[in-house]
Amino acid sequence: MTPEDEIEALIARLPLGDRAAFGRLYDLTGAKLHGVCLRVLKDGTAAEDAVQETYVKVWNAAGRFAPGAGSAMGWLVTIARNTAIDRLRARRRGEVGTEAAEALPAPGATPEAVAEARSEAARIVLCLDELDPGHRAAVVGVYLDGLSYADLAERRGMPLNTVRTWLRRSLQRLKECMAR
Amino acid sequence: MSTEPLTPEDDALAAEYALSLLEGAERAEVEARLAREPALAAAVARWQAAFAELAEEVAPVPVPERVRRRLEARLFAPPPGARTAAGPGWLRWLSGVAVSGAVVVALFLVAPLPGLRFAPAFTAELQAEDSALDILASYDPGRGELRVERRAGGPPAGRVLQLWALAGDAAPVSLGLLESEATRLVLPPELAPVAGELTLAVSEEPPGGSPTGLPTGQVLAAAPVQPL
Repeated sequence: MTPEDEIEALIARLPLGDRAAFGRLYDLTGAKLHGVCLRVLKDGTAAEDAVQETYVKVWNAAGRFAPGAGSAMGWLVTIARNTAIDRLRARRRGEVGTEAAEALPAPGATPEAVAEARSEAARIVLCLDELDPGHRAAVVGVYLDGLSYADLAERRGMPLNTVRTWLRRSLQRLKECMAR
Repeated sequence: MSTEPLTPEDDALAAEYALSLLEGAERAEVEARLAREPALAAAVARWQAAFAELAEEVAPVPVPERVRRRLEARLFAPPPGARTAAGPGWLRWLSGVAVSGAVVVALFLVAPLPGLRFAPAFTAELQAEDSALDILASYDPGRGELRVERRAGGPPAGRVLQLWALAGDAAPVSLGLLESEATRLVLPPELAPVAGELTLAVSEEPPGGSPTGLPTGQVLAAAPVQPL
Protein backbone atom coordinates (compact mmCIF):
# COMPACT_ATOMS: atom_id res chain seq x y z
CA MET A 1 0.00 0.00 0.00
CA THR A 2 1.46 3.39 -0.96
CA PRO A 3 1.16 6.25 1.56
CA GLU A 4 -1.45 7.79 -0.75
CA ASP A 5 -3.49 4.56 -0.80
CA GLU A 6 -3.25 4.29 2.97
CA ILE A 7 -4.41 7.88 3.45
CA GLU A 8 -7.34 7.23 1.11
CA ALA A 9 -8.31 4.02 2.96
CA LEU A 10 -8.10 5.81 6.32
CA ILE A 11 -10.35 8.65 5.13
CA ALA A 12 -12.81 6.05 3.87
CA ARG A 13 -13.16 4.68 7.39
CA LEU A 14 -13.89 8.01 9.07
CA PRO A 15 -17.61 8.19 8.17
CA LEU A 16 -18.05 5.03 10.26
CA GLY A 17 -16.61 6.79 13.28
CA ASP A 18 -13.31 4.90 13.24
CA ARG A 19 -11.17 6.78 15.76
CA ALA A 20 -8.14 4.54 15.29
CA ALA A 21 -8.16 5.39 11.57
CA PHE A 22 -8.45 9.06 12.49
CA GLY A 23 -5.45 8.80 14.83
CA ARG A 24 -3.36 7.11 12.17
CA LEU A 25 -4.40 9.69 9.56
CA TYR A 26 -3.37 12.47 11.94
CA ASP A 27 0.01 10.79 12.54
CA LEU A 28 0.63 10.46 8.81
CA THR A 29 -0.52 13.89 7.65
CA GLY A 30 -0.51 16.26 10.67
CA ALA A 31 3.02 17.64 10.19
CA LYS A 32 2.42 18.38 6.50
CA LEU A 33 -0.87 20.18 7.13
CA HIS A 34 0.73 22.04 10.04
CA GLY A 35 3.48 23.17 7.66
CA VAL A 36 0.86 24.44 5.20
CA CYS A 37 -1.06 26.31 7.93
CA LEU A 38 2.17 27.85 9.26
CA ARG A 39 3.16 28.99 5.79
CA VAL A 40 -0.18 30.72 5.29
CA LEU A 41 -0.63 32.18 8.78
CA LYS A 42 3.03 32.72 9.83
CA ASP A 43 2.01 32.42 13.46
CA GLY A 44 2.42 29.32 15.61
CA THR A 45 -0.70 29.63 17.72
CA ALA A 46 -2.92 30.52 14.79
CA ALA A 47 -1.49 27.61 12.79
CA GLU A 48 -2.21 25.17 15.62
CA ASP A 49 -5.80 26.39 15.78
CA ALA A 50 -6.10 26.02 12.01
CA VAL A 51 -4.74 22.46 12.16
CA GLN A 52 -7.30 21.59 14.82
CA GLU A 53 -10.14 23.09 12.79
CA THR A 54 -8.90 21.31 9.67
CA TYR A 55 -9.14 17.88 11.31
CA VAL A 56 -12.56 18.65 12.77
CA LYS A 57 -13.69 19.39 9.18
CA VAL A 58 -11.99 16.26 7.87
CA TRP A 59 -13.74 14.14 10.49
CA ASN A 60 -17.11 15.68 9.68
CA ALA A 61 -16.75 15.84 5.89
CA ALA A 62 -14.97 12.56 5.18
CA GLY A 63 -18.17 11.05 3.80
CA ARG A 64 -18.08 13.59 1.01
CA PHE A 65 -14.57 12.65 -0.09
CA ALA A 66 -15.01 10.75 -3.34
CA PRO A 67 -12.17 8.26 -3.60
CA GLY A 68 -10.39 8.74 -6.88
CA ALA A 69 -11.81 12.21 -7.58
CA GLY A 70 -8.47 13.74 -6.70
CA SER A 71 -5.61 12.69 -4.50
CA ALA A 72 -6.48 12.10 -0.85
CA MET A 73 -3.50 14.17 0.27
CA GLY A 74 -4.59 16.95 -2.10
CA TRP A 75 -8.03 16.91 -0.50
CA LEU A 76 -6.48 17.30 2.97
CA VAL A 77 -4.10 20.04 1.81
CA THR A 78 -7.01 21.93 0.22
CA ILE A 79 -9.02 21.85 3.44
CA ALA A 80 -6.00 22.91 5.53
CA ARG A 81 -5.04 25.70 3.14
CA ASN A 82 -8.59 27.05 2.83
CA THR A 83 -9.07 26.91 6.60
CA ALA A 84 -5.82 28.82 7.14
CA ILE A 85 -6.68 31.38 4.42
CA ASP A 86 -10.04 31.97 6.01
CA ARG A 87 -8.42 32.63 9.36
CA LEU A 88 -5.87 34.92 7.74
CA ARG A 89 -8.58 36.99 6.07
CA ALA A 90 -10.70 37.04 9.24
CA ARG A 91 -7.69 38.24 11.23
CA ARG A 92 -7.13 41.07 8.77
CA ARG A 93 -10.75 42.10 9.01
CA GLY A 94 -10.64 41.79 12.78
CA GLU A 95 -13.26 39.06 12.69
CA VAL A 96 -13.29 35.85 14.63
CA GLY A 97 -14.01 33.51 11.75
CA THR A 98 -16.08 32.86 8.65
CA GLU A 99 -17.19 29.97 6.52
CA ALA A 100 -14.28 28.48 4.63
CA ALA A 101 -14.66 27.15 1.12
CA GLU A 102 -14.46 23.39 1.26
CA ALA A 103 -12.53 21.04 -0.92
CA LEU A 104 -14.97 20.09 -3.64
CA PRO A 105 -15.50 16.52 -4.73
CA ALA A 106 -15.32 16.28 -8.52
CA PRO A 107 -18.88 15.34 -9.49
CA GLY A 108 -19.47 12.14 -11.41
CA ALA A 109 -15.88 11.64 -12.49
CA THR A 110 -15.17 8.56 -14.62
CA PRO A 111 -11.98 6.57 -13.96
CA GLU A 112 -10.51 7.99 -17.19
CA ALA A 113 -11.32 11.55 -16.09
CA VAL A 114 -9.80 10.86 -12.68
CA ALA A 115 -6.57 9.53 -14.17
CA GLU A 116 -6.45 12.51 -16.53
CA ALA A 117 -7.13 14.99 -13.71
CA ARG A 118 -4.42 13.43 -11.55
CA SER A 119 -1.74 13.55 -14.20
CA GLU A 120 -2.86 17.06 -15.10
CA ALA A 121 -2.57 18.17 -11.46
CA ALA A 122 0.89 16.66 -11.20
CA ARG A 123 2.04 18.80 -14.13
CA ILE A 124 1.31 22.10 -12.39
CA VAL A 125 4.79 22.37 -10.89
CA LEU A 126 6.48 22.01 -14.30
CA CYS A 127 3.95 24.30 -15.95
CA LEU A 128 4.46 27.00 -13.34
CA ASP A 129 8.12 27.06 -14.35
CA GLU A 130 7.07 27.94 -17.89
CA LEU A 131 5.46 31.14 -16.63
CA ASP A 132 7.27 34.44 -16.28
CA PRO A 133 9.02 34.25 -12.83
CA GLY A 134 6.98 37.17 -11.52
CA HIS A 135 3.74 35.49 -12.50
CA ARG A 136 4.86 32.20 -11.01
CA ALA A 137 5.65 33.94 -7.72
CA ALA A 138 2.24 35.59 -7.78
CA VAL A 139 0.36 32.28 -8.18
CA VAL A 140 2.40 30.62 -5.43
CA GLY A 141 2.03 33.70 -3.22
CA VAL A 142 -1.73 33.65 -3.64
CA TYR A 143 -1.99 29.93 -2.85
CA LEU A 144 0.55 29.53 -0.05
CA ASP A 145 0.78 33.03 1.42
CA GLY A 146 -2.84 34.01 0.97
CA LEU A 147 -2.16 37.11 -1.10
CA SER A 148 -5.26 38.87 -2.43
CA TYR A 149 -5.57 40.87 -5.64
CA ALA A 150 -5.25 43.99 -3.47
CA ASP A 151 -1.97 42.68 -2.02
CA LEU A 152 -0.60 41.92 -5.48
CA ALA A 153 -1.65 45.34 -6.76
CA GLU A 154 0.05 47.07 -3.84
CA ARG A 155 3.27 45.08 -4.18
CA ARG A 156 3.53 45.80 -7.87
CA GLY A 157 2.23 49.32 -7.79
CA MET A 158 -0.37 48.41 -10.39
CA PRO A 159 -4.11 49.01 -10.58
CA LEU A 160 -6.11 46.10 -9.20
CA ASN A 161 -7.89 45.40 -12.47
CA THR A 162 -4.60 45.23 -14.36
CA VAL A 163 -3.24 42.74 -11.85
CA ARG A 164 -6.38 40.67 -12.16
CA THR A 165 -6.16 40.64 -15.95
CA TRP A 166 -2.58 39.38 -16.03
CA LEU A 167 -3.09 36.82 -13.28
CA ARG A 168 -6.10 35.41 -15.12
CA ARG A 169 -4.00 35.23 -18.27
CA SER A 170 -1.33 33.32 -16.31
CA LEU A 171 -3.96 30.90 -15.04
CA GLN A 172 -5.20 30.28 -18.57
CA ARG A 173 -1.65 29.66 -19.78
CA LEU A 174 -1.15 27.29 -16.84
CA LYS A 175 -4.30 25.43 -17.81
CA GLU A 176 -3.18 25.07 -21.43
CA CYS A 177 0.17 23.69 -20.32
CA MET A 178 -1.38 21.26 -17.82
CA ALA A 179 -3.83 19.96 -20.43
CA ARG A 180 -1.07 19.27 -22.98
CA MET B 1 -12.62 18.56 -19.42
CA SER B 2 -14.42 15.45 -18.34
CA THR B 3 -17.88 17.01 -18.65
CA GLU B 4 -19.36 19.59 -21.00
CA PRO B 5 -16.81 22.17 -22.18
CA LEU B 6 -16.26 25.22 -20.05
CA THR B 7 -15.42 28.62 -21.48
CA PRO B 8 -11.86 29.85 -20.75
CA GLU B 9 -13.55 32.67 -18.86
CA ASP B 10 -15.38 30.26 -16.54
CA ASP B 11 -12.28 28.13 -16.13
CA ALA B 12 -10.32 31.19 -14.98
CA LEU B 13 -13.18 31.96 -12.60
CA ALA B 14 -12.93 28.41 -11.23
CA ALA B 15 -9.19 28.90 -10.69
CA GLU B 16 -9.78 32.23 -8.94
CA TYR B 17 -12.36 30.58 -6.70
CA ALA B 18 -9.96 27.74 -5.87
CA LEU B 19 -7.32 30.34 -5.00
CA SER B 20 -9.78 32.22 -2.71
CA LEU B 21 -9.30 35.34 -4.84
CA LEU B 22 -13.00 36.06 -5.20
CA GLU B 23 -14.77 38.13 -2.63
CA GLY B 24 -18.24 39.24 -1.68
CA ALA B 25 -20.94 39.06 -4.33
CA GLU B 26 -18.66 37.55 -6.95
CA ARG B 27 -17.72 34.69 -4.66
CA ALA B 28 -21.34 34.15 -3.61
CA GLU B 29 -22.36 34.01 -7.27
CA VAL B 30 -19.79 31.32 -8.05
CA GLU B 31 -20.89 29.33 -5.01
CA ALA B 32 -24.49 29.47 -6.19
CA ARG B 33 -23.43 28.29 -9.65
CA LEU B 34 -21.35 25.44 -8.23
CA ALA B 35 -24.47 23.89 -6.80
CA ARG B 36 -26.14 23.62 -10.21
CA GLU B 37 -23.24 23.46 -12.69
CA PRO B 38 -21.27 20.21 -12.39
CA ALA B 39 -18.80 21.32 -15.07
CA LEU B 40 -17.85 24.38 -13.04
CA ALA B 41 -17.63 22.32 -9.84
CA ALA B 42 -15.42 19.80 -11.63
CA ALA B 43 -13.16 22.63 -12.83
CA VAL B 44 -12.83 23.97 -9.27
CA ALA B 45 -12.04 20.47 -7.98
CA ARG B 46 -9.36 20.06 -10.65
CA TRP B 47 -7.79 23.40 -9.86
CA GLN B 48 -7.87 22.59 -6.14
CA ALA B 49 -6.13 19.28 -6.82
CA ALA B 50 -3.51 21.03 -8.96
CA PHE B 51 -2.82 23.87 -6.53
CA ALA B 52 -2.56 21.37 -3.67
CA GLU B 53 0.56 20.05 -5.44
CA LEU B 54 2.22 23.35 -4.52
CA ALA B 55 2.30 22.10 -0.92
CA GLU B 56 5.14 19.85 -2.10
CA GLU B 57 7.45 22.79 -1.48
CA VAL B 58 6.23 23.22 2.11
CA ALA B 59 8.28 21.37 4.72
CA PRO B 60 6.36 19.32 7.32
CA VAL B 61 6.48 20.76 10.84
CA PRO B 62 5.72 18.41 13.74
CA VAL B 63 2.50 19.34 15.52
CA PRO B 64 2.76 19.93 19.27
CA GLU B 65 1.09 17.15 21.27
CA ARG B 66 -1.39 19.61 22.80
CA VAL B 67 -3.11 19.96 19.42
CA ARG B 68 -3.96 16.25 19.37
CA ARG B 69 -5.26 16.42 22.94
CA ARG B 70 -7.48 19.41 22.18
CA LEU B 71 -8.70 17.80 19.00
CA GLU B 72 -9.61 14.52 20.66
CA ALA B 73 -11.29 16.36 23.51
CA ARG B 74 -13.35 18.35 21.03
CA LEU B 75 -14.33 15.43 18.81
CA PHE B 76 -14.54 12.49 21.16
CA ALA B 77 -15.22 13.73 24.69
CA PRO B 78 -18.51 12.21 25.85
CA PRO B 79 -21.21 14.83 26.42
CA PRO B 80 -21.92 15.38 30.15
CA GLY B 81 -24.09 12.59 31.51
CA ALA B 82 -23.53 10.32 28.54
CA ARG B 83 -23.11 6.65 29.21
CA THR B 84 -19.57 5.49 28.65
CA ALA B 85 -19.20 3.44 25.54
CA ALA B 86 -18.72 -0.22 26.20
CA GLY B 87 -17.72 -3.13 24.05
CA PRO B 88 -14.71 -4.26 22.12
CA GLY B 89 -12.61 -1.83 20.10
CA TRP B 90 -14.48 -1.75 16.84
CA LEU B 91 -17.81 -1.47 18.65
CA ARG B 92 -16.56 1.51 20.58
CA TRP B 93 -16.11 3.54 17.42
CA LEU B 94 -19.66 2.84 16.45
CA SER B 95 -20.93 4.07 19.80
CA GLY B 96 -20.51 7.66 18.64
CA VAL B 97 -23.13 6.89 16.03
CA ALA B 98 -26.77 7.37 16.89
CA VAL B 99 -28.26 3.91 16.88
CA SER B 100 -31.92 4.71 16.67
CA GLY B 101 -33.31 1.35 17.41
CA ALA B 102 -32.86 -2.14 18.58
CA VAL B 103 -30.82 -3.62 15.89
CA VAL B 104 -30.32 -7.24 15.28
CA VAL B 105 -28.01 -8.22 12.50
CA ALA B 106 -27.48 -11.91 12.31
CA LEU B 107 -25.31 -13.55 9.75
CA PHE B 108 -25.41 -17.21 8.99
CA LEU B 109 -22.77 -19.05 7.13
CA VAL B 110 -23.22 -22.52 5.76
CA ALA B 111 -20.81 -25.07 4.49
CA PRO B 112 -21.36 -25.72 0.81
CA LEU B 113 -24.08 -28.32 0.51
CA PRO B 114 -24.88 -30.60 -2.37
CA GLY B 115 -28.55 -29.63 -1.95
CA LEU B 116 -30.20 -26.24 -2.42
CA ARG B 117 -31.25 -25.46 1.16
CA PHE B 118 -29.93 -22.65 3.29
CA ALA B 119 -28.33 -24.04 6.47
CA PRO B 120 -27.08 -21.39 8.88
CA ALA B 121 -23.79 -22.11 10.59
CA PHE B 122 -22.72 -18.73 11.95
CA THR B 123 -24.47 -15.78 13.55
CA ALA B 124 -23.77 -12.33 14.79
CA GLU B 125 -26.04 -10.14 16.80
CA LEU B 126 -26.15 -6.54 17.99
CA GLN B 127 -28.91 -5.04 20.07
CA ALA B 128 -29.63 -1.41 20.96
CA GLU B 129 -32.12 0.25 23.28
CA ASP B 130 -35.45 0.25 21.40
CA SER B 131 -36.49 -1.78 18.39
CA ALA B 132 -36.87 0.60 15.44
CA LEU B 133 -34.74 -1.45 13.10
CA ASP B 134 -34.22 -5.17 12.98
CA ILE B 135 -32.29 -6.77 10.17
CA LEU B 136 -31.32 -10.39 9.66
CA ALA B 137 -28.72 -11.42 7.13
CA SER B 138 -27.74 -14.93 6.16
CA TYR B 139 -25.00 -16.05 3.85
CA ASP B 140 -24.54 -19.22 1.89
CA PRO B 141 -20.87 -19.56 0.83
CA GLY B 142 -21.81 -22.38 -1.54
CA ARG B 143 -24.08 -20.07 -3.48
CA GLY B 144 -22.12 -16.92 -2.61
CA GLU B 145 -25.51 -15.48 -1.80
CA LEU B 146 -26.42 -13.16 1.02
CA ARG B 147 -30.08 -13.01 2.04
CA VAL B 148 -31.13 -9.98 4.03
CA GLU B 149 -34.44 -9.78 5.80
CA ARG B 150 -35.65 -6.49 7.23
CA ARG B 151 -37.93 -7.63 10.03
CA ALA B 152 -38.75 -4.22 11.51
CA GLY B 153 -38.12 -0.57 10.79
CA GLY B 154 -36.80 1.16 7.69
CA PRO B 155 -34.84 4.16 6.46
CA PRO B 156 -35.66 7.78 7.38
CA ALA B 157 -38.07 9.55 4.96
CA GLY B 158 -36.50 10.13 1.54
CA ARG B 159 -33.50 7.89 2.29
CA VAL B 160 -32.56 4.28 1.57
CA LEU B 161 -30.73 1.66 3.60
CA GLN B 162 -27.39 0.46 2.29
CA LEU B 163 -25.51 -2.59 3.53
CA TRP B 164 -21.72 -2.55 3.87
CA ALA B 165 -19.05 -5.14 4.57
CA LEU B 166 -15.91 -4.25 6.50
CA ALA B 167 -12.88 -6.52 6.29
CA GLY B 168 -9.91 -5.69 8.51
CA ASP B 169 -8.72 -2.15 7.99
CA ALA B 170 -9.85 -1.92 4.37
CA ALA B 171 -12.44 0.61 3.23
CA PRO B 172 -16.09 -0.44 3.56
CA VAL B 173 -17.43 -2.31 0.54
CA SER B 174 -21.03 -1.76 -0.52
CA LEU B 175 -23.06 -4.96 -0.66
CA GLY B 176 -26.17 -3.25 -1.99
CA LEU B 177 -29.35 -1.42 -1.12
CA LEU B 178 -32.04 -2.87 1.12
CA GLU B 179 -35.03 -1.50 -0.72
CA SER B 180 -37.55 -4.20 0.12
CA GLU B 181 -38.17 -6.35 3.16
CA ALA B 182 -36.27 -9.24 1.66
CA THR B 183 -33.18 -8.68 -0.46
CA ARG B 184 -30.82 -11.14 -2.08
CA LEU B 185 -27.28 -9.92 -2.59
CA VAL B 186 -24.10 -11.43 -3.91
CA LEU B 187 -21.01 -11.20 -1.75
CA PRO B 188 -18.09 -9.85 -3.85
CA PRO B 189 -15.72 -12.77 -4.62
CA GLU B 190 -12.79 -11.07 -2.87
CA LEU B 191 -14.76 -11.02 0.37
CA ALA B 192 -15.91 -14.64 0.22
CA PRO B 193 -12.69 -16.10 1.72
CA VAL B 194 -12.97 -13.75 4.72
CA ALA B 195 -16.76 -13.98 5.11
CA GLY B 196 -16.36 -15.29 8.67
CA GLU B 197 -14.29 -12.24 9.69
CA LEU B 198 -16.50 -9.54 8.24
CA THR B 199 -18.41 -6.85 10.04
CA LEU B 200 -21.68 -5.77 8.44
CA ALA B 201 -23.01 -2.24 8.77
CA VAL B 202 -26.19 -0.51 7.61
CA SER B 203 -26.19 3.20 6.78
CA GLU B 204 -28.90 5.55 5.56
CA GLU B 205 -28.11 7.08 2.16
CA PRO B 206 -29.71 9.24 -0.54
CA PRO B 207 -32.00 7.46 -3.05
CA GLY B 208 -29.91 5.30 -5.35
CA GLY B 209 -27.32 4.75 -2.65
CA SER B 210 -24.15 6.53 -1.59
CA PRO B 211 -22.86 8.74 -4.44
CA THR B 212 -19.25 8.25 -3.34
CA GLY B 213 -19.14 4.46 -2.99
CA LEU B 214 -18.54 4.91 0.72
CA PRO B 215 -21.00 5.50 3.57
CA THR B 216 -22.08 9.15 3.60
CA GLY B 217 -25.07 9.02 5.95
CA GLN B 218 -25.45 7.84 9.51
CA VAL B 219 -24.48 4.28 10.33
CA LEU B 220 -27.62 2.89 11.94
CA ALA B 221 -26.35 -0.54 12.91
CA ALA B 222 -23.36 -2.82 12.68
CA ALA B 223 -22.39 -6.28 13.83
CA PRO B 224 -19.47 -8.67 13.41
CA VAL B 225 -19.87 -12.15 12.04
CA GLN B 226 -19.60 -14.99 14.56
CA PRO B 227 -19.96 -18.76 14.33
CA LEU B 228 -23.18 -20.21 15.72
